[in-house]
Amino acid sequence: MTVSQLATRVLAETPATWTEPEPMTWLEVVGIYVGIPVGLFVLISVLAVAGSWTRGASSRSELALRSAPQWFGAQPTEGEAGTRPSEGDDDTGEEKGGVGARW
Amino acid sequence: MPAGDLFAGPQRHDIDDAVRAAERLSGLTFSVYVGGAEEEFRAYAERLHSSLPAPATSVLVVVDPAARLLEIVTGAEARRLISDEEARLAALAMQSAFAEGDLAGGIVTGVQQLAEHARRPETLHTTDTEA
Repeated sequence: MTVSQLATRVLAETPATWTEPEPMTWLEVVGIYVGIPVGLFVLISVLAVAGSWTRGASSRSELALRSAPQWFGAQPTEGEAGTRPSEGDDDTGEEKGGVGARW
Repeated sequence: MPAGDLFAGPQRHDIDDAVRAAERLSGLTFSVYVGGAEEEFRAYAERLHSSLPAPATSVLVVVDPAARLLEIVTGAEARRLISDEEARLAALAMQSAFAEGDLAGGIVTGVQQLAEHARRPETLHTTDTEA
């Protein structure tokens, strides 16, 4: 055996002063090889979707909040709209119809 | 489009046209209010409706884009032409458009549907002829 081969074998062996590490538990193995990739996947997905959610909602809500109320068609008579029916009102007090919804 | 306006010029024009066409078609008075409410939404919508010049023959569509709420209010006479079920169908169409972000289109669609439901049938021989 040549001197170089002997030196290589000596350098390849772990030093005697190193302690032998304890074997990993199955929980640690699953956590590292499954948990970290899954966690990263979930985190990136949430960041990608949440950005569009907040941007869209805030821009729409902000515009709606900043906009003054708008009327189309017939409008209430002078005075604060909705405070009291105007004179000559022909609403006999019968129950109003209609429907409510949200989106 | 001025800052803070929900509708662009053409959209406002479309809504105005739809309201005028609905009034011609049905004989009822149509109104659309787009804005927020500071109280319970249905009660607010009914209060607005009562403040209209002719509430009994008026149909009011109230939309709150910020809170995503919609109310259709029909007066005592108007509801004889537009039943609550027909109003619900119109509201459903509006909901679909609003959910896609088309506020003006949803309002136009809803007003058109309400007018169709309230369409006055053509009548013949309504004038008295002298013998």
